Amino acid sequence: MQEKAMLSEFKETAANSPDYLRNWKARTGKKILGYFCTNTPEEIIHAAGLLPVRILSTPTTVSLASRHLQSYSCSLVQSSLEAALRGDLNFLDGTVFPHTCDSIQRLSDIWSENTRFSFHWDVVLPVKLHTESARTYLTQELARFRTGLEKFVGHPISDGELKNSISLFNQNRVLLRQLYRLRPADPERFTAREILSIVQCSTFMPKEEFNPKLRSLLNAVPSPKQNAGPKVRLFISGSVCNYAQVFDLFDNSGASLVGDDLCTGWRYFSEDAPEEGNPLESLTARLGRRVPCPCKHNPELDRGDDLLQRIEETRAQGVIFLLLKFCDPHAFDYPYLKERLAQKKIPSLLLEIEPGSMPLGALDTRLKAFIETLGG
Amino acid sequence: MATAEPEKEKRRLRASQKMKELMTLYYMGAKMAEGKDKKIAWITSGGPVEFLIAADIIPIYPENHGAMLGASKMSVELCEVAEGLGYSRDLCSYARGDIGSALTKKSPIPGGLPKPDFLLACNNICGTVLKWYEALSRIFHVPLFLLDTPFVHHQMSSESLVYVKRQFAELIEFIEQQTKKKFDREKLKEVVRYSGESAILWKEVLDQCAHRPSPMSCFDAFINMAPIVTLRGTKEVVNFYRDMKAELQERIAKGISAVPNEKYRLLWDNIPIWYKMRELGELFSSQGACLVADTYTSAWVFEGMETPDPMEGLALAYTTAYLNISIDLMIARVLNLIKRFSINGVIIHSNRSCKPYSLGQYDIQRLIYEKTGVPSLVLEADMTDARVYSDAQAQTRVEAFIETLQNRMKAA
Repeated sequence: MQEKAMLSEFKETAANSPDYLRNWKARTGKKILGYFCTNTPEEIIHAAGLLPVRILSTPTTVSLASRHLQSYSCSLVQSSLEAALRGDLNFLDGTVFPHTCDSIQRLSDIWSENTRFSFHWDVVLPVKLHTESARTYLTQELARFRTGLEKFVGHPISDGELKNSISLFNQNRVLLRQLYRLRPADPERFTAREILSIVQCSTFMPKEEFNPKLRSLLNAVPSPKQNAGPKVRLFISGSVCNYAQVFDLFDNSGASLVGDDLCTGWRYFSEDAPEEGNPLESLTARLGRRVPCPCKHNPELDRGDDLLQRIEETRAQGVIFLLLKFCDPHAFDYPYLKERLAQKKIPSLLLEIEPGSMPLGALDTRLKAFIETLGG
Repeated sequence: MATAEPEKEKRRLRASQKMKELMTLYYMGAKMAEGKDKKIAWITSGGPVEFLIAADIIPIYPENHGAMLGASKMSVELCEVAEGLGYSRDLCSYARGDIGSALTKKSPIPGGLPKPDFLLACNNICGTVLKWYEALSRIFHVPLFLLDTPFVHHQMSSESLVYVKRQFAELIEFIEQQTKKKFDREKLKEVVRYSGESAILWKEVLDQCAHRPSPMSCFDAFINMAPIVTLRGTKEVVNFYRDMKAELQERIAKGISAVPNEKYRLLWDNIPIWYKMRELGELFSSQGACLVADTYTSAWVFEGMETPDPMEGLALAYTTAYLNISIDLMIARVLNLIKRFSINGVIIHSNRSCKPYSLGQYDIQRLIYEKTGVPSLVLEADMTDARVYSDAQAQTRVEAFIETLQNRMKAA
């Protein structure tokens, strides 16, 4: 298949994930678990014979969920509850809530009170990731999750199955990182929307099906041109953003995106789990190696250092902070990260994302003005 | 004043005056220790302060300071300082005000809070404290110890208990590094005993409000909670609450009530609206409504400290704090308060600053009604950011709610 045809297939699948999942379920007769956040140990869900599917925001009007959530909760929390209450997530057999932020934690309680999925689990991850006691606790908590899943599916999950899943998910991460490495070298090869679609597909398609598709796409891509192109190079830093319209703005802005550290991007696949040794300890190791998301505490890995390093690697000229409105952990890191950039004279722009009431025109104007100051 | 309003004077608690003296002494002592041999640590309100007190370290509570900023109406100005640095207006107003104060030294305490030598954050109240203390750690260039108390969904796991206990051992080691002194475990036992004793006394103080009419309202409790938050683990606090309990018992004996002609007994949920304490107190009082209990001050009634092993007791007490438990467990505690204090209605402060306290309140409101028939009123506000509060709206809504209660009670 041609590169463009493969890309439009990704785009179409990403835009119709519920249909895709309903068909998949009908075809395979298997069960699906929804989960929040990149800290979820998807490998254990997969090893149990279930399909882990990331729950992301949908640009929907919130009505049912407003009886349960204040207007100052983020759109991810509001729109996913709305989708669940409306029955839009009825292809799910259960939901997994990892411990991340205060809002997701309370959403778990509200969700279990008001929805009727047959499986509900809280993986109470530690917030610290750098001490031996935290790692021991995390491994125990993963073991508890494994036991919970074993009860749900009615059969044990062997270490061998877990190792196979880890290997499969590592392959997925390697491929996605390969895709991302093409971006600084050949920034106009893919549009921002195309990258989003590919990453989005990776969050719900079975890896068995996704990996070969991405591999053939990567094989079909010609080697990067020597000259990377004249466009202004931007890096995106932030939390969750799966709104196609926002990425369309970038594609029409005259700049190109060379990388990101988003939860719906690099943060999902930045680190692999070791393939040798005890598989649960290996999953623990992956979380400990990862530059922490702002909900986690690891003084040994600083987000500011990481951001500067990624900017250097991708040769970005400016940074767009793409933050979800009412996302406290990310909003708290913003002044620090902005300051670190300012010290290195790297310009940045904050765009707050609030689907439902998003002034796309204003975002577009601000983005274009920013690009202009960078010489674009 | 005192002679002009004898009625009001009669209802004033002697404890409040003593509390002010206690807190002034505490802050003066802490200010004087700044830059001297004694170490100063900033700690979250739900943190295990017993370790600091046992090591002769002065604990300072930015949250208590946040409440002071709110009550003295300095918050908005200081929040704006933080907002100018890029802290979103949607973030916790304690954190914004405190960061603003740390940078400008503006505070009701001359020169601001004494500078910390290190920081101790316990995430049993929210994830925000982690981010807030990380910011403080960068501002003051001092180390941060995070005590990580895994959230309790339905019941506490034995693994998380072990994890918290192991962190206590790490905390002791951290404190020894900071003070360069051997940690005195015997002293800790004594401090935990005082802490447990003050928690029991605090509960008994609050329990006096079960009497009809109630000898104090939660507005008095909000003010007089400062010692249990900041100084628990000391003998002074034990004495203070012992006296306060006696004073309340005396008021009951003399028939002195917090609100003249108490007709309605209400429960308050969430952190107070610090900059409207007086107005709200008068508003409810004028309607014959007394807020006889609240979910906030009762959060310092730590349970489980009486365990023979102090480490186990502390781990249990701090991990099962009110904001670290799932909604089903919160509701059980609220239902208990409703029953014990003969509550007719609930005032729910939906606090933009505090997501772990506020998200879930709508479901809690519905479940309270389903299980007990007790109605509630949601007030949308913020604990210290006065920009999101409207006096007129609050007054109309409270008056309408009281009218509903009146009709219900007439019908019954």
